[in-house]
Amino acid sequence: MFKNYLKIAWRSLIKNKLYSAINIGGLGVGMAVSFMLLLYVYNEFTYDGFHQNKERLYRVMRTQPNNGEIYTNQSMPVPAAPAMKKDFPEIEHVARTDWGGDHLLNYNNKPLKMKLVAADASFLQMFTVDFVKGTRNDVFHDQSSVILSESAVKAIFGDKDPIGQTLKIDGRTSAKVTGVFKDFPSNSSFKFKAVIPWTLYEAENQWVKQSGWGNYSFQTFVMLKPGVDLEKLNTKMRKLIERYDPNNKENKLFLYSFTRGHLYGQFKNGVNSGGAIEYVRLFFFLAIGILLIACINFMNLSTARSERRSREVGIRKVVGARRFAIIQQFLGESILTALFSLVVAVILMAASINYFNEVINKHLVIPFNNAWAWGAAITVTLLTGILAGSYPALFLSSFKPVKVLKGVNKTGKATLHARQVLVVLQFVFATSLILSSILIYKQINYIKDRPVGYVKNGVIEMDLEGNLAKQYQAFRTDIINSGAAVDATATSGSIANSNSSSWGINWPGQLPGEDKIPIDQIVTTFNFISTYKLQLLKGRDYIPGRMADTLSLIMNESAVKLMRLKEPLGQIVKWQGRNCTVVGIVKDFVWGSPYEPVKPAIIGFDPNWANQIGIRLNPNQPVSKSIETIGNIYKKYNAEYPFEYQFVDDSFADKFANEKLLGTLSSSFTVLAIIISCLGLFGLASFSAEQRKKEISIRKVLGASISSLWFNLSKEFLILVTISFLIGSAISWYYMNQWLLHYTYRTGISIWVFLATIAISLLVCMVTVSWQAIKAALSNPVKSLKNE
Amino acid sequence: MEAPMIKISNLEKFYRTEEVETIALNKLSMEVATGEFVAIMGPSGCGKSTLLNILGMLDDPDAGSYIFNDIEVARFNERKRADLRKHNIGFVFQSFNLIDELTVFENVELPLIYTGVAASERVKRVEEVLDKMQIMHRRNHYPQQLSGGQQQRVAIARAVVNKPKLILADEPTGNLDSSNGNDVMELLTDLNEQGTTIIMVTHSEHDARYSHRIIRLLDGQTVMENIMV
Ligand SMILES: Nc1ncnc2c1ncn2[C@@H]1O[C@H](COP(=O)(O)OP(=O)(O)OP(=O)(O)O)[C@@H](O)[C@H]1O
Ligand SMILES: [Mg+2]
Repeated sequence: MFKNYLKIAWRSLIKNKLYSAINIGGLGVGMAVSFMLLLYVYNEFTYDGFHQNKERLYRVMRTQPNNGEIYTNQSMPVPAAPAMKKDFPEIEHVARTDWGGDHLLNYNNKPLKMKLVAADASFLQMFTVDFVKGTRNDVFHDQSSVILSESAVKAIFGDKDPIGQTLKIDGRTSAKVTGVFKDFPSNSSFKFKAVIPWTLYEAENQWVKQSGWGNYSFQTFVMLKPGVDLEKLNTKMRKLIERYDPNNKENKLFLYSFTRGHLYGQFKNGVNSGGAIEYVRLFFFLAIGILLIACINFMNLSTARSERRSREVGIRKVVGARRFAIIQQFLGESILTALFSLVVAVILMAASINYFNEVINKHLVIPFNNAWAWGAAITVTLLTGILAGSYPALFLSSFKPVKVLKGVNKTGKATLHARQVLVVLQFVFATSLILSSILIYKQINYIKDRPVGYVKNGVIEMDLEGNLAKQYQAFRTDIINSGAAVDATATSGSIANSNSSSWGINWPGQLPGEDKIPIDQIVTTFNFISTYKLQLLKGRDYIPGRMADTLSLIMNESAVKLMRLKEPLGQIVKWQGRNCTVVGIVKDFVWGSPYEPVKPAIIGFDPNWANQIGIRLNPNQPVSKSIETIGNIYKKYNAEYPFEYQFVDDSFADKFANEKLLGTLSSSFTVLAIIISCLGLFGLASFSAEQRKKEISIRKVLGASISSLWFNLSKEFLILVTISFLIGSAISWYYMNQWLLHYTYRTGISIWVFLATIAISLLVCMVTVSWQAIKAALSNPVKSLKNE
Repeated sequence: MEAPMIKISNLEKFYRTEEVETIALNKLSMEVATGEFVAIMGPSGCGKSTLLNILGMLDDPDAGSYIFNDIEVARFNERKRADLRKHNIGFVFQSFNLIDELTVFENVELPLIYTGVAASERVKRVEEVLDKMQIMHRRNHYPQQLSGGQQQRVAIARAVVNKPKLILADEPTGNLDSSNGNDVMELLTDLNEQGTTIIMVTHSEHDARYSHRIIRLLDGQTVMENIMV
């Protein structure tokens, strides 16, 4: 009996090639996309899950009141770790690390930049670091040692045995390679490829050992003993800093699950407010949504086709089939189709996973040799097959043989309505996506077009490190003389990212307590305003060569407003302990979040803070040529370091990387949802055209025009799409409104967005449906009448 | 005397549409003995097909009694009817009703599959009837590739493959020319002679002459019975 079903299923697939292709392809595409999304979701949920002690690993967090709000932070003072270990017997291990930035590793004069972290030896006891060479107990026996990941070893040593070799770190620290560990999986918070012992780091940076309870510069991790009551420990932990630093009552500590940190890493006013989990949820719902519309397609096409198969069901019943046998048969067919779709989906996934990774900036791999993943995929496929097939199966098996065979089975209004509801559901999803995508792009453009207050094109920034730090002036002169650059300045940080603020600033007429207000600061040398082309409203820039300008100060308009200075020039403002004279006011420029109003900012002058160079390239020659020239000059000064730079407009664009990702994703899914929905619509339209072939022919014989026939066949679908638009736009209007509320600077939801959405939906629908309608309207009436 | 195979009494069937109620069968009573060959005749719309469908348990009556081989089946549910049907009754229709996606062989095999006959036994029995219907050489063809007469022979093969006690035929020659029609009537007569009870609806006095007895219906009621000699 089973063989017979398979045979029929196979033949009916072959016989209706177009519909089978639409059915299998549509479901296949839907499954591929939703599986990839689910892969992402799984990847996120297992983030950091490879640490064997994950249940007992915690990150120490710190809360600090600031401006009426509580800020939650991960940076910790150096003495906290040993103090915790001493005071809390609940703690099994505690480890400090720095932030694991890029460092120069030099072996045999081949310098490579790599992420390197300094960590207490206990770190290796707490976290799962999988040693290939060496063991966690002895690699940090000597202070001057370093362990490397396999990929780092490959990059530095090739196939040579690295153990016992000496590396030079940042051109000054020597360390012997004592161990090799397996690279962390891609879903790990730790990305470093090299670790040095904390003792080595302290020996090289004397200030670290001396830094007290008020210097928050490092991370601290804790591993608890089994069965510890976290809440009890956290109440004790809160006042740790105060115990050792009695004046410091503001800063409080607590432990937060290490593995939870990735998905729930955001804190608002001291309370957890989610984090990456929001994206994971969004992806999850998208995955389910896409799968659902693909299933709906499947159901729609199957029920539509079932009308042609009602006769077969009738005959089967007459010759003795029970209802259950019919249900089995149709479920079997839909499961078979779903299995074909799975094959299509797997092929599609393999073909597109790299592109998907690029878009979402992840390293997902299809788990081809993971039995669980296959199990899950097949389960989903079977469920999809059952879900998609159950409606047509139940519906078909309920046919009364007498009626079918007599041809009176006009497949009642109920199925028609059911199918219409399903189409509406699909298009509600599609129109919501269209509308949301338009709005996301509108918001991104709105922010992009916001005046930033400086000219961000044609400027590069690079680190001022190594020799370059000492010979900055000579370098600057060289690149300008070469014609590659027109101007350059040394600053404390990028103009595209506010990363520094300070309080304790005094100004004339200050009210009590206002000295606690933190004000953004960027510290520069000469030529800052001219390099970035900021707009000077009043006064002057720092005068090149005039070192006395360390006692001068430039501010932005918002700072003037904050300080309520009527005549700012010449006023004395105390900043960084110096009494500075205000010499210039610049127009507000976007430094922090592009979605927020510009905050008060001070542009200070102090060559000691120089960390970066900003270079305005010569606009009269090709960028690549200028970069090459600068690179060659750079090599002369800093042969040890690779030449690395960033365009300011790129750095600026990074600020809305998340929004852009959201935009890319939603527009991709929009296109996808439209395609899948259209496939379904196409299928339905062709069925309806075929069903009404006779009616159309008769109308034609009686003199109906092609256009009236077209309208007759298309109007049902146009009405359905319009209904979907009304529902879909209401839903997405609500959610997009909420989304936009995140941003102080936000675009409005204007009427044209809705008009564009309905226009797109109707156009797409019309194109899809018309193909069939026109084909039917143009066909020769004699032929279809004869067929009856 | 042996009990009749079929005994219906006061059978009623109504069709209700939005406005009108049609009485298709109006307190109809009749009996058919085992081994009989009965023809049912009457003007269009008098209830012939309705009667046949109820006799074949494809439909249920609204009132009255239907005793099939001493069992009251008028109130049977769908599943019980299906079980009784597949072992006892074969159907032949005016429009053949073969499944287009299946070959001749597979169409004929279908009832055996549903009654759970083993595969090897199925092949034997299907080949046997195909042989008898003289369409063995067409066993791997699809219905569209056959003439009307051939299709009807396949349909009869399918109706008899399960060796039913009763064959119900609704205008089996309606779509055939007279020569093909005569062939079909010969086949039915042969089957009847081998012991199968046959009830046949027809508009043709010529075909009706093959039967033992003609029942004439008008407006859902028996108006006359002719015993053939
Ligand atoms: N499904 C139905 N709904 C409503 N009325 C029906 C239905 N089926 C049959 N009828 C009506 O019941 C009556 C008997 O129909 P039936 O098909 O049994 O006639 P018939 O004798 O077989 O006619 P013909 O010789 O034309 O095949 C007719 O008046 C018909 O209109
Ligand atoms: Mg009839």
